[in-house]
Formats: sequence, C-alpha cells, structure tokens
Amino acid sequence: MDARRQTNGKPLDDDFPAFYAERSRGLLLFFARRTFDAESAFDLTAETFAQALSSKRHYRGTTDEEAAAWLYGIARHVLLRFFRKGKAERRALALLGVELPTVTEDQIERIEQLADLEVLRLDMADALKDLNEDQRHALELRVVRELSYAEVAMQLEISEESARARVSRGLRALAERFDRSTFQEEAP
Amino acid sequence: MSTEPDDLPSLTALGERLAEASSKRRESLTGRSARPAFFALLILATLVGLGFTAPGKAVTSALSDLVGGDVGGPPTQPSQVGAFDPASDQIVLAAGETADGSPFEIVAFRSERQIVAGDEGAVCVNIEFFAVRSGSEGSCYSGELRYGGVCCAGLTVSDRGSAVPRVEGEVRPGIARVAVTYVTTGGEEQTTDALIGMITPEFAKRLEVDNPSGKFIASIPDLAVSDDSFSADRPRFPQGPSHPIDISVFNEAGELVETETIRPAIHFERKAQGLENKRKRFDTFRGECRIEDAIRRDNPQCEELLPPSLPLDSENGREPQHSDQRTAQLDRRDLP
Repeated sequence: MDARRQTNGKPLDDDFPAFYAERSRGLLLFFARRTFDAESAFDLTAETFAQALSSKRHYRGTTDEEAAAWLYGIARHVLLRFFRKGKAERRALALLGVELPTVTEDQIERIEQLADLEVLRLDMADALKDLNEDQRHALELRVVRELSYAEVAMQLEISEESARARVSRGLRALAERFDRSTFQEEAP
Repeated sequence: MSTEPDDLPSLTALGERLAEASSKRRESLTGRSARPAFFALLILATLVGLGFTAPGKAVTSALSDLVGGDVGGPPTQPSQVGAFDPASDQIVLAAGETADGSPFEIVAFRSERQIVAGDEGAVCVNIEFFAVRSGSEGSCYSGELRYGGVCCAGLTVSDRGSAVPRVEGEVRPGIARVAVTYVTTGGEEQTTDALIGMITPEFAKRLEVDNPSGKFIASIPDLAVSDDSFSADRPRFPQGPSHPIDISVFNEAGELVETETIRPAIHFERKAQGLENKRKRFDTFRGECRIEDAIRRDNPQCEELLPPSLPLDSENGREPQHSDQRTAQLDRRDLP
C-alpha cells in the first residue's frame, strides 16, 4: 500500500476498517514490546484506537502516513499513562461503550511470539543491570519470572500499587533506552 | 488492507466493535446537532438559580447542618494529603455521612508542592473521616480535567473511616449528579446518588486555583460480594463485587454524559491485595510505634520496624503519595 495514500482527512471515519486492519497489529506489538505483557498490550491498543476515534475531529492530516503518526502520538500518551499508573485505562473505551473481546491463552502466546518477547526478555535481563535495585528486582519478578502483580507485591512485601509503580517506572526507564533503537523503527 | 491471517481473532473483533461504536456515536451526535444552544442557556439558568437564589442557599445550608463543618468554612480538623502541605485556606466543599453513620467532610486546599517540575502547585481534595484517626483519603492534582465527567473512580473497602463499601472519584466542573448502581446481597439492583463536593468558582477564587474540580462519594451498603476461595481467608477483603457497579454521570441539564463500570475481580482483586498488604504493615506498627514515627525515623525503635522496601520521600522524610490517586492527576495534562 502507498504510505502516502490520500485519505481525505478521514482515515478514522469512512476508512476506519482499512486503517485499523493496516495499523492494529503493529500497534499491538509496539505495546507488547514495551509492556512485556500481551494482555496489557491488547488493552492499550484498544484504548488508543478508542481515543483516536473519540478525538478524530482534531485530526488534520491527509495521508495514511500522517494518520499513523497521529495514532502513534496518542499511543505514546497512552503508554506513558500506563507507566505512571501501572495499569491500562479504559476511559475512551467506556465512553464509546466498547466491551473488550476476550483474549485467549493461545492468542496471548501468539502475541508474545509475534513480539519476540522471549528474545526481548533475555535482552532485558542484561539491561536491568543499569536500573536501581528496587526497580530491577520488581522487573525481574514481573517480566522475567512472569509473576502476577499480586505475587510481586507479596515477594517484595509492599502493596500491589507500589509493585505496579516500581514495575512501571522500571519499564519506562527501559523504554526510554529502547526508544533509541526499536521505538523509532516501529513508530512512524 | 492487511493480508495477515486472522490468528488474532480478538484483535479483529475489537476492530469491528470499535467501528460499530464509532458509527453509532456519529449518528447520535448528528441527531443532537440542533440542541447545543438550547442546553447552553439551560445550564446557565440552572447555575444562576442554584448559586444566587434563596432556595439555592437553603439547600447548601441544609447539607452542612447534617454533620461536620459548614460548607465553605474550615474543616473540623486540619486536612493534609501526604507531603502536600496546605498553602491556602482549607474549605469544606460538602459534608455527609456514610450508611453506617460515619461522618465525613470533603475538604479542598491548594498546595505549593509540585507534582511535576514546573507546575504551579497542586489542588488537593480530601475526604476526611474526622471522627477517626487517620481517616483521610485524598488526592492532589494539577492541570485541568478535560476528558470525561468523572476520573479515577474506584471501590473502597476499609475499616478506617467507614466499614461500608464506598465508591469514590473525582468529578469535572459542570457535573451535577453521579448515580451509582449496584446489586445488593438480596439480588436487587440499587441506585444511590453520590454526594458531590465541588470547588465552585467562589471557592476557586478563595483557593486561588485555576483548574477546579470536585470529588464524589457514594456509600453502598449491603453490596453483594463474591464468595469464592479467594475471599474465604479474607473476610474483610473479599475478591470483589459479584456484579458490576455502574456509575452514571449527569450534567446540570440532566443529560447523561458518561458511564463507567467497576467490574468484579479485575478491579477489586488487585485493590483487595493492596489493602491487605497495607493492613499488614499497619498491624506491624500497632501499639508500639506510629507509622509516621517510623517513616520520619524519629524513633530508633520504630525505625527497626520499618520495612526496607518502604520508599521514602527524600525531601521531607514523609511517606510519598505513590498511589494512583496522585499520578492519576497527571493524566489531565497530557491528553491528546
């Protein structure tokens, strides 16, 4: 597809199904590679598209490329808030009245496979060395050992909210580092 | 169009649902296109009526007569949110009591503490259960809530303040009613209106804040909770409501502007775990040290009890506000 295809400024109106089909998978993997969590990645993808639909009147671009850049701009905000709060918001989804479909175990595995999370986890183990001890320990439990937040909280003897905050801050620190390479490759 | 095989049917289903919802919303907005001017006038009339007429004032006075301090006056006891020291008057926005008779005040003040560097300070809105020690729940924010009618709504079950479950959150100016619908243990659907404490333009002027908002609280007694194995060992912290809790938000014109849902398990399982961890921590200190003593390291005996993982605010030695209540406010600044 021509990346500069004219969309008449309405990629999220008349052309939404095509735009979604074109961009949803890439966006899902974009989130998966930064959260190391397929379910969170799915939630973030859904919220990003919902926010895009809710604020589409502000979009002023005319090409697919510009629409994708706009979408990823929203995605970065959504991701930043996820890092801050430790959980995905569903505000725009609620406004639209969209119920999230169930993501089955085999689909979670497929997302992890597509996102190369196994490889990234190995890379992360090395990158963790530069984080502070609290964040490193939290990320090791959550991302490398794949424990739930409740289990991480129990292990660290802190509240689950604090566990989420530590993991989020650690992920954000790593994401900033990864931005120099993978982030810019994927995000237009 | 993508030619990828449909190995992620959930992603496909999501796209269909989004497209359908967007289409419905577009039709709905098109149908209402002739009405905004009328409703703008109606809102103005409602505000004038409530703010300046004698009946409007009477409603405010009656509310404050129930319990606690006067609306617009100082709180029964000073309010604070963590390390956010008040830098203004403290104003009671509303006062009420929960279903078990626990009195509370919704209190607002301005703090000069910055949530992020470069901020002009923060606005703090607290729910103060002034009859009990440490019965304060609050949050501070900066920036403007521009998105949706309510923010950060959540279900709280705590033995501090009131033992009755309650739904709390923040509201945007212009919101007149927040209705909370839940299912009781008898299986009946119950709807209750939340009490809203709003920073009115008058209060905003007194507090010298540019981005006023409010807070709502709804006491929901007899909430039906799940009784699975998770909750068996945690009678005070069950897994969560057995049915979704719906929050409906209305503006002054009586229009429904937003709905939110607190879902069983997903929301509350995590919340319950956090509460239980917090309770364990308080149990450790009970009877020997106050948690504040330990955190401030005033008492060496208490310091020994301080969990090594408990984060400290290096600036003033107080426990930092690391709950989502604080960080949630940051969201208001950077919405696309």
